[in-house]
Amino acid sequence: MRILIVDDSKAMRLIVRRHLRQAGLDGHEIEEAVNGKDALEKIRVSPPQVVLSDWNMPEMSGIELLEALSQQGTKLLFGFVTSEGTPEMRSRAAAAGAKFLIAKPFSPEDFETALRPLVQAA
Amino acid sequence: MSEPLKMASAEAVGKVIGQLVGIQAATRKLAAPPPLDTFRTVSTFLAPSNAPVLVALTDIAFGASCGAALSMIPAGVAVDAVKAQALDESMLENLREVANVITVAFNNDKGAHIRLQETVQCKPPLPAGLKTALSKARELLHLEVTVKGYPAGNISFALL
Repeated sequence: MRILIVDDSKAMRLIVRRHLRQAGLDGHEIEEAVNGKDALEKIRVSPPQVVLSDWNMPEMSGIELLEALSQQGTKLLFGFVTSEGTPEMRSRAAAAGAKFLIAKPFSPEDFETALRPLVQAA
Repeated sequence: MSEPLKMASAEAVGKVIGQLVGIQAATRKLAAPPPLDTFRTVSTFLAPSNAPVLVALTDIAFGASCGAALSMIPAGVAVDAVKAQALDESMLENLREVANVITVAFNNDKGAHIRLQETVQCKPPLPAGLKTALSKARELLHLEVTVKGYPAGNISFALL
């Protein structure tokens, strides 16, 4: 399975990688993008099965990325990893097709809970 | 925002930092504000209206310790940064992520919602506009934060 981590913070991309490993979700091919625009291009070239995206990013936000993918009809498992956890944002994320929202600060268990069922079903 | 932003508790700030860096973080309220010339970074936070509503100022030790701990960089690197009184770019980027996640200690389901605009390094003296904002702040909170194994550092919050 290919997983694309989208975050403008290099540190956070590394932390997400670490948490995936600690959650026992290693062994997957992991790629990174620095914002929604970068992710959109990488998904166009080679679509992953799962996208883990921050919400607030320069150039193109996570929700803009998800909405763009929906408009294109691109089907993949999309989840947010973000400090934006308000009910309104969770609703907007779900309405746009996000499968989960992992709120920062997170634990490896948060990734396991969100991703394990999706990985097993894929 | 439905009501004016409220100051986060010291406990909430410590909890968020500890969860983020994966190491216990203890907070202690300072009886007096740290000297202005010890502040070396400024983070600005915005309301949904894009109006600045919160400023956080830190000394080098806070930025170095949180920044290093976030990436599991040894404490010695943070100690060196404190001696040099400067953060390298990777520590500053990590501090931005810490500041980003600190918003969780302020946001709630009742409508309070802020986001990080920027985190920048500064040198004394603080800009006059910032001094004025601090003097007119609705509320101030000064904390000493100790990430276990790293140098203790200070962070001050000012509700605008």
